Amino acid sequence: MELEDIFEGLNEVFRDVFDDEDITVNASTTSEDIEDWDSLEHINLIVAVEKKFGMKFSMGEVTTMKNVGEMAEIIKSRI
Amino acid sequence: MKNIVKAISFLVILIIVIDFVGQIFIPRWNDEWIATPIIKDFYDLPKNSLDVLAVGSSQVVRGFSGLELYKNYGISAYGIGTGQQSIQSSYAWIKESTKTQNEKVVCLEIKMLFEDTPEEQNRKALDNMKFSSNKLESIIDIAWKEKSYETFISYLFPITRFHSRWKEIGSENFIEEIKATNYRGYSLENEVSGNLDYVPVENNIPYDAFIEEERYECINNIIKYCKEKNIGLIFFKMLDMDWDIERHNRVEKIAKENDITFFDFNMKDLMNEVDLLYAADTSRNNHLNIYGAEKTTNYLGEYIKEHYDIEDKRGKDEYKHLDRQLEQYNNDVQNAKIVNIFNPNEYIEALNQKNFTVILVKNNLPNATTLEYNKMINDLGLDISKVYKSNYYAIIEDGKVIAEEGADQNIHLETMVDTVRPVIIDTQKASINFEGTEQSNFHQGFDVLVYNNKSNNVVESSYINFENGIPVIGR
Amino acid sequence: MILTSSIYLTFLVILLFLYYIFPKKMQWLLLLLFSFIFIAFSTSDVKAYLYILYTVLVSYVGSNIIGDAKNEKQKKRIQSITVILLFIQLVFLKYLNFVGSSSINFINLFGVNLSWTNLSIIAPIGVTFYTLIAIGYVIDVGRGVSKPQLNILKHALYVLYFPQLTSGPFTRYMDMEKTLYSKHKFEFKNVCFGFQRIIWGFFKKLVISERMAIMVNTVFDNYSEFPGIYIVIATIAFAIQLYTDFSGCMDIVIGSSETLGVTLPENFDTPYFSKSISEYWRRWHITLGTWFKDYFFYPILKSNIFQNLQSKLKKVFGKKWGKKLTTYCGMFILWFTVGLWHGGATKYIIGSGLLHWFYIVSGEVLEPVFNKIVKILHINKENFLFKFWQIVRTFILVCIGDLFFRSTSTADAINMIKSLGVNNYTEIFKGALLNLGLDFKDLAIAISGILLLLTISLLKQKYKIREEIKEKNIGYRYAIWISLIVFVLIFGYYGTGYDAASFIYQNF
Repeated sequence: MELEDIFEGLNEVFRDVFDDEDITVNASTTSEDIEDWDSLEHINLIVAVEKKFGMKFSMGEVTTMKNVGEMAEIIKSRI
Repeated sequence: MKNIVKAISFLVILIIVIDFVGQIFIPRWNDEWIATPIIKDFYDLPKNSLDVLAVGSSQVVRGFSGLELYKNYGISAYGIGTGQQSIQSSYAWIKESTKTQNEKVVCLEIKMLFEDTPEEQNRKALDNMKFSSNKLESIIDIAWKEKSYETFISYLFPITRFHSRWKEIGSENFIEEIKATNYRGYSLENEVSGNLDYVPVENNIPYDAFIEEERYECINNIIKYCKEKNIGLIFFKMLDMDWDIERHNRVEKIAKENDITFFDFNMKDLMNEVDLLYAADTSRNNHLNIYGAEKTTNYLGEYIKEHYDIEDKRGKDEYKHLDRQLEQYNNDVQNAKIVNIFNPNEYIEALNQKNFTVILVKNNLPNATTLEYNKMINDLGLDISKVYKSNYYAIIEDGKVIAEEGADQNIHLETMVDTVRPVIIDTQKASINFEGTEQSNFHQGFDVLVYNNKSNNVVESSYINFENGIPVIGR
Repeated sequence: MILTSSIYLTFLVILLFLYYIFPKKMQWLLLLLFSFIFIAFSTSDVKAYLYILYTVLVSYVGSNIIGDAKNEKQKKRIQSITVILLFIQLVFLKYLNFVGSSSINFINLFGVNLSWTNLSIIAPIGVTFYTLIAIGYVIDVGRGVSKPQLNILKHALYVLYFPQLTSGPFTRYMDMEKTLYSKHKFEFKNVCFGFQRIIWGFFKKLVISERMAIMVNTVFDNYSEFPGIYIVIATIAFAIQLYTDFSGCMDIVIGSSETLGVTLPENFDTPYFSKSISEYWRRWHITLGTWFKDYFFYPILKSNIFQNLQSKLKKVFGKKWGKKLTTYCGMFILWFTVGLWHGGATKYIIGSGLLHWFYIVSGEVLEPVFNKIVKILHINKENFLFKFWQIVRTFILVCIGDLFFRSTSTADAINMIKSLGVNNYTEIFKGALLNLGLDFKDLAIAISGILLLLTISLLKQKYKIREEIKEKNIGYRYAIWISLIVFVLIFGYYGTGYDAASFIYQNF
């Protein structure tokens, strides 16, 4: 899968998890950029992304990923 | 490089500030034991002007009167004694003294060879010592004994020890207010204990007391140091209720081994030689009073004069300051002693001393013709015809009658003594009002007010009564 | 070793001297040596060394076996075993009596009549801190976040690094390994700023915290004599005491590490300026929060159990509430554990745990209600007064938790809350503040200290204080730092005549 498609998929997930149709993410998006993305929502987000792309993040990746770009790279390498 | 300079300059300024602030917080030990003045005045002595240094505990402060040595032998002396001063501190002070003085003799009071010094007293000996390797050694010594780094820091930076006094810091920490006069390390005490429980020490037990290792090492260091510096060392032990033959023996042993003279003023023979009597020569807290101090110090002086070649300093220009000090000392001793006199002849003699202004008012005293009565009138230089009148007063200055009046009716006199001090005398009431305060005892006989012109203070008010023609002094 | 002592300062100065003179590749060895010296000065119990050795060895061996493991399953298994081994020691040293008495109480519910005698076990300094740091490290190795440290001495240094040893902050190995073992050139600024921070820590602890402690102890140790207004005063005083004590300790610790060129993470960010409890926990004991989040909370939420629970709850309560309720359950476990970490007693579980769970959950549940009220009253959320209200409200909530934390037991805390009803509140105008062990002068100093702290905290929001001071001229700079040092020397609560209490968190 190409990164472009991954980002498209991520947009869908983000909009669904945060209940906001206007969200668009890119490589540099972080939790600072999205209002409800706090540590509590992070796990829900991760799980939703895992479900969407049929892969699993390691706990290490969950706690150390810095932005959506990293997330996308990991997804790309897993599928 | 620039940074090192910055860092060092910061630290230096910091230490100076901390030290300065610390000085404000160190308690002023200005009470009757004058620990702070003794040390501060020592540093102010003219360089190389000292012949004899006495060191020890409070026994020295009350027992060694340096000015006696100057008065009678022309010897310049000073005593450094703080409360329970440890042997180690005495050693530190001996070493400290040779930095500015070249004394020929050190007299060491050896009581503390057998005792511990509590922290508060250690501070008195050390906190006002100028910082030097000598002081550092003493601090390290104390801290090592307590196995406490915090102790080391607290002596190095007194602010850390005394900062809790911040609530009490007031003007007295900035202005020197001294409550007792420092007579070259001597604090004047005139109280007479009257304690008859004291028993002189006798040579009846052959055992030695035990000296703690550190103190034993220290005393040997002192001996060695004095030998190296060619300073004569004398051990002495002041008259003291808390002393025994065992401790005497121990010190005697050390003295003999090192060829050091040891004067133990508790030993029966020496006491007799010096004419010491515990009841008369000590005050109530087991320290010598002025009478004991005079005898003890002069005895030491006699010995020093005989065995050491010390130039007589009396009359020399560089020692004029000692003359001034001696004058004040003599005057204060005069004031101190008169209040203890009960012998009428002695008392009359005392009243006639220089610097005294004496005011007498007759109070309801029947005229007498006894020998004693006439002697008193005579010795005081009074006019008996005036004395016989029912109303009578007299003012005596420096032993001379300067005013006197006798009358049948009341005499009310308002006058000045010492030029500026107002006195109101009323013979009917037998009142002597001095500077607004009533001083008369209103006792039958002659009510007496003694005032000292030099020290500008009322010395005492007493009365001289005649019971069955015999004079009685009362207060 | 007490951090606010001349011994510690001398210890640090000697270390610094050697550190920057020694060949740079030996610097980390020097740190290890001095960490052991620090431990030696902090405990006279030989067993303490054994406990420490156990933690170091178990985490070293475990992490290296993980490193050699062939597959994920094996890695996970070794990780679990190692973590459990480390955890067991922690329970044994800190929670034995709690576990024991709780278990006995539970068994007794069934009619059995046993009793538990408390064993006296002296926990070595910082065991709750360095054990978690070791556990975090092992988990990171298991997750592939970090590679295991092959050198056992270097590993020991990470676990026992003396600045973080007694009270944290909780560091991450992946951050520390970058600076802990590297060569450090002497940087004047680091040493200066480090010491400035240390002085600030001394100030907070010795001038403010110790004085607050007096008032707090007077009331909490005898609360029946001090109802109503006194409970309020003492609780607020405790909030201040706890903050100045703990953050002061952090200042000293982080500042010390700064002088060595090793950066430690911040643990506090003016927490009492928080506008909500959630925000509070992002600003109070920050590294504890992140540790529990990464190593405890996330694994729980991501676990199959919780994912299944979420699916079930979603079916019953709908998507939104299904998610929320699952999170609330997870948070319950989290906060229970956080409370328990603070101590094996219900007062900790409540005061530093479940009470906050309750605050956060009810805050979220009631959010629509609050929003409605704000709308009806036409309140501007950006208005300074509204923000101020949020800060005060948060502080009050925190204080209630602090009351439980400090009181001798939950029962006592409840009694104290009940006694708030006693109406003696006007006594504040009659000098109530002076009835708690501090006289006027001491109180004045404490309040001056607090005002200074408040000012600096406010300035910190905008400026980097030490940088700002550095820019001023030399006379100004010297005056500031010398004045601060002298102020602490004069007004600090230390030395003869004071009972200097060890840092509150030091026995954790």
